[in-house]
Amino acid sequence: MSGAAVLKAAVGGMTRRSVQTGVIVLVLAAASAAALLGLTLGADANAQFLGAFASQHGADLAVTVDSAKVTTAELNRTRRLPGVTAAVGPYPETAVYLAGMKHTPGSTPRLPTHPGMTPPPGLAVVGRRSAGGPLDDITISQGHWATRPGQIVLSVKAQYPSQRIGGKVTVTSAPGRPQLTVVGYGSTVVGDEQAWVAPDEIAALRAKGAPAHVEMLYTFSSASTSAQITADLAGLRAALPAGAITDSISWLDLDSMVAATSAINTPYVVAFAIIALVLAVLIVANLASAMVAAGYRRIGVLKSLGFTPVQVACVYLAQIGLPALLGAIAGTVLGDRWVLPVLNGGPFKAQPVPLWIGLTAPVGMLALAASATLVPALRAGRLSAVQAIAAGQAPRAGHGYLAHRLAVTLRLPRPVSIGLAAPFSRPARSVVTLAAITSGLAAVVLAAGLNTSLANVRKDSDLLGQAVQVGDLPVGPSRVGAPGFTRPLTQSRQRRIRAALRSQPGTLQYAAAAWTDASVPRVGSSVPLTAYNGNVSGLGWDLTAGHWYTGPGQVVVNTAHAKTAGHTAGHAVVNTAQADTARLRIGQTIDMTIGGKTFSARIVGKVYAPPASLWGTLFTSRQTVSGARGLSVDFYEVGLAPGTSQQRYEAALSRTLGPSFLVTAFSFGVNGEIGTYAALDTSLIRLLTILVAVLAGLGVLSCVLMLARERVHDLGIFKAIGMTPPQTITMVTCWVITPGIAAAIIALPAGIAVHNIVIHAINNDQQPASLRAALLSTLEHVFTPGELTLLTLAALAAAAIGALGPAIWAAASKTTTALRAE
Amino acid sequence: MTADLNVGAGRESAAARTLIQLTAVTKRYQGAPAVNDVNLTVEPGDAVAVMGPSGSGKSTLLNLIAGLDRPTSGSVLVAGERVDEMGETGAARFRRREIGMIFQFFNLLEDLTVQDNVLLPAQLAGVRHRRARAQAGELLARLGIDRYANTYPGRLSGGERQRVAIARALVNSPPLLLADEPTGAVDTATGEEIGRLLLDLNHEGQTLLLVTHSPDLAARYAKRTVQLVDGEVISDTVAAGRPERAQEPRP
Repeated sequence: MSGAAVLKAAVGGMTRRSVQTGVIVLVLAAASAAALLGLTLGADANAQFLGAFASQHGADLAVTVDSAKVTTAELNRTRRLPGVTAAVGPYPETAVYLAGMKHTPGSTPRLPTHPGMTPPPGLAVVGRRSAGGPLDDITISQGHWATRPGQIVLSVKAQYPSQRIGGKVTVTSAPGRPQLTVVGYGSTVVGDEQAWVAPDEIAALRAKGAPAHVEMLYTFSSASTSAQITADLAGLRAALPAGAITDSISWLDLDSMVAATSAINTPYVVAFAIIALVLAVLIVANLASAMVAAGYRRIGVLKSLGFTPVQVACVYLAQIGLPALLGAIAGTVLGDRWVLPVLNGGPFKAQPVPLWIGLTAPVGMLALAASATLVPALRAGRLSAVQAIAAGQAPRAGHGYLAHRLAVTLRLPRPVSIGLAAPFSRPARSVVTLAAITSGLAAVVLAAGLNTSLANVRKDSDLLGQAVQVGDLPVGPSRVGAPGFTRPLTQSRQRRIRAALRSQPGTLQYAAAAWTDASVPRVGSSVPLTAYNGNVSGLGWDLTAGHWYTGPGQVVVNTAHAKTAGHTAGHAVVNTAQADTARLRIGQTIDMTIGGKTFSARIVGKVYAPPASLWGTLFTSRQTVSGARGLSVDFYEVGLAPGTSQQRYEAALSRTLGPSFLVTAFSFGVNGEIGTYAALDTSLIRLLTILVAVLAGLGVLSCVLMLARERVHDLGIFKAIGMTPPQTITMVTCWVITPGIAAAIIALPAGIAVHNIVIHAINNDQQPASLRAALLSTLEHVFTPGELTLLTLAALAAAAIGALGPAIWAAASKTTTALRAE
Repeated sequence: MTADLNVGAGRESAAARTLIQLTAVTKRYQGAPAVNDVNLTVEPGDAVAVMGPSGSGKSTLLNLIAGLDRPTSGSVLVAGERVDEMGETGAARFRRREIGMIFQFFNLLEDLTVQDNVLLPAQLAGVRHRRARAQAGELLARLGIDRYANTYPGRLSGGERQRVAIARALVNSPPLLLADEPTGAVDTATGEEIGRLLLDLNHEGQTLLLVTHSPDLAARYAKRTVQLVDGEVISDTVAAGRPERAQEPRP
């Protein structure tokens, strides 16, 4: 007997049991996709970003330059600066309002000072001749590049309502309100570009009176740490006229934002993946054991033909293994091409998963499927041929008598009572049904809980750190800093600001702030430091650990780059000798040298506010660095009273102060720069829930189908003695009601427990305190009794729907055929 | 007889007494017909044995009469109703009311007690619980198996199981009892016992259509024997001095 005969018998069995074969393919596909997600996130959450960064030739630093202040020759000189390995540009750039965008009426659009400002102060449009590099390749996902005036390519992550290719968008901020045709959608690894046009188009799109900007992209020989990036940026500033660089963003900023997103996504993706794996194993084991139980006669025939026990076992292993292989491959491709891009969330091209993960996921799933099949397959091999042919089907288990007796006493319609008691006749099968419904319901509870929790976090603005910064319009020498305030405020302008803040309803607290660079041993020679006048605990910064400074000699550290050390992006070389801020400990004393004078301060707290180059790395009282040379007041930072609308406050303050002041609203934490990167994007949760729900549905379907096949003879008897098709459907559907009720009892607390575990896992010290507080507060108010009841009923309904297919099959099966299935 | 048929669905007039009327019934699966152009009538109170070798179409004929299968052509009239024109639900309701079936391998539900097995057709028909229990109890006592009411079928002998099957078949007092090889799975003595029981029921007025391949059983317990070969009726004999009925001419 050759292997070909075994294969032929297996293929014959697969064809005969086409529904089960299809279920195995689907189950393995879904579980492999889930495994791929879990492994990818678990192995290296930022690998997707780093892969995209490398493949799209991402720039280490993108700077926005005021083109009125530089000449092309000066920009060209920066290409040859020490440490610069590549430079591209200048690309003309401007900010626009498109029809339908939210913005303050009468305001002028501004380039976002950091990616993901909500709402954006303007849509950043860059003029480029082509999508190609040599740095920052734009990946066109739909349509084509803008080659002619009047065309625009939108970023896939643009904060703008989706338009069809060929649709028109109106630039409401430009003179004459020009219309542009959307010719494509693209993605960039640089986070602050939202649309692209032909370079000549930019001038026509610029708002009246708006300054002309260009964008330059650079890579450097050393750009692995924030300190190196800061030094690189300082070199560029020194090479260009003062104030020419108005804004910048580095690859580390983007990387830390992606890391923050992943820190939120990973726990629940892993939870869903585990549920999916458990379900897959249960379903495959159930199907394998049912195939053996329903195929006794076939086993007997195979053995009588000369198949050895090992060959019979191989037939059943192959019968499960072949569709499992197909499903595992399909699931891996599906996960790679479809699910991971959703997970990605960032504004960059999705990367294929690493080869080892691409192999481990399907091979691991196949191994699980094989181990789940092994016991039933060996049982088939050991079965005596005579016994198998004589029995024809699995021997009755001899269970469920008591359940049937009790069911009779319920005085329910007989098909209902028989259906309710039926699961007890096949306890093993019923346990799998129970596990399938339990897993599905637990996943739905988890998803509903996460949705509620994250929605609560989003809407609970009182818990979020929100603030407003006020300063002069950026016209002077550029400084590293949040909204790019470029010159110190004069005393008279400070007075105007303070007066406006005092009279503005919603002002909780404000403080004058000074930006400077400090040299900190083992951190960097140019570390951004903000020195505030007075107490700033009410400004809304989110502490991840410790407390705000309460007096001189104390400092708070931004640990936003905690996870970035050690990553290699593109051609960047990692300098592991450079200490990262994450290694700084609360209680540790550091020396900060400003203008040649050294100040000591003890670290008393940590914040997490990516990117650190934007928000600063060290925060302290002005008294701590009292006497430092060149310390001025650069801007005022305002904390808002609870319930104050940040946007309305910003608009009102702008009106009060007039156009010579720049008022910028920003959020610390979830609604700020992290938000856009899908940190709280529930689409992934929905996708995973659908995945697990499909698996649970397949689990119920396969269990009921197997039960129906095993009880086909009984179904024939019922019909022969007068059970109508509707009664048959009712009875079979009721098979899942008892496991469904039991599953609800188990799954509701289990789902809530898993939700709480996931929330605690998300709630790590990488997250802002406001998010952590908001998440923890949601643990107590996730579900109302009404919602739990609704979820239970929904689970029962879903289980019943899963059973409906087999029930209809049972009702439609021929009585005479069923009766012959002795 | 064909002329007497009310070809439309529905009961015949009260005057018509014929319980089963098959007219030119053919059932074809694939290839040769399993039942070919069969005409057959059975009057109330008859005990008819349908005989023939394996594959002659006996069970197919029984299934057609019970509404478990549909003829390829021809009409099947039972108790005045066109069974061949009924839908699945209609046929199921019809079986509850008009037909009791017993099988060679008993076809009892192993996880229900004897009493629950017997009660089931009545419960499916919506008979009130008290009345159904009374009927079941009466039948169990009459068939001598009332002491097994709370026993599961797996613990009974073949003869006892077949008695349970007969009780179940009769619980809704159907006018027609169809028996497919009722003694095929029991020993000779038990077969005798089952045969006598069926005969007694027939003496009490129960119409009986018995499928068997045993000439002995047919001769001893049926008043009339219909012989099938290759799906066709080759003889229709009235036993014990009754005149033989000729096969009705084919159209």
